[in-house]
Amino acid sequence: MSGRFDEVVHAPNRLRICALLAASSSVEFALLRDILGVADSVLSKHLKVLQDAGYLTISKPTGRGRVKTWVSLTAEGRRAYAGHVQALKALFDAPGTPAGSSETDGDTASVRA
Amino acid sequence: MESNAAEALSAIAEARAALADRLISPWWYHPIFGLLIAGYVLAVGFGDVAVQIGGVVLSLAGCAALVSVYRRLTGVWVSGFEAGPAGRWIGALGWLMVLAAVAALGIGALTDLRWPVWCLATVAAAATVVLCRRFDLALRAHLRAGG
Repeated sequence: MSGRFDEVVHAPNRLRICALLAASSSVEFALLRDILGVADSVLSKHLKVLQDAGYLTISKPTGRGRVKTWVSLTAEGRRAYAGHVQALKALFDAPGTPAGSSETDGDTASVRA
Repeated sequence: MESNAAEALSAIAEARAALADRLISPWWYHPIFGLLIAGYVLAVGFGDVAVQIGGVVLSLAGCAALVSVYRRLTGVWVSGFEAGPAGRWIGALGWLMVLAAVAALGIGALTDLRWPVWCLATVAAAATVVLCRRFDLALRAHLRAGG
């Protein structure tokens, strides 16, 4: 099965966000910010893009103490990320072969352009 | 483009390694989890139906509270279902709980002896600590290996 190159996921910070979320069930906003080494506003912007694409959910459970923001990938987000990683590996393993060419010629062509 | 792909794959590996570095359970996490499992075994082995049900409910509530504290402290949660190959240790823990409950029920129903239930609870607690620590190690190795 070939992966699908995903423009939403491919931006460097969003790719790292997806990598962190795909490897976990949920991650707190502050931890994401610390690992990525970016400002709150930058992280919020990228999370919004991924959320708008339906790739992640953001929750703020209420309770005692300071409210923390938790982020997790949706099933669609996990599929998109997994497909994107497959496409990256295909590009890396066979540089001359367009990744996911049978499914996503347009996507791949636009990334290669 | 292939160098771009290599950079992207490298960024993914670095992110996963950074997450692995953060997945360090507090020293008290596994022992408390083990004690909760021991309490569950004792309730099942010693009690009547009400105590058994209450013991299971209390153990589940205790586990939920423990997980909540862990999440707040570490900022991350990885369930056994999303842990890749490391999830087999959580599967083993599930089987341990089922077998321990069946054994405790059997001992309680067939004998009046109490010490075997205490022994079973102690073994279950120790096994819980071992299995959970193996899970942590396997999960960190899985994340660093690139999954």
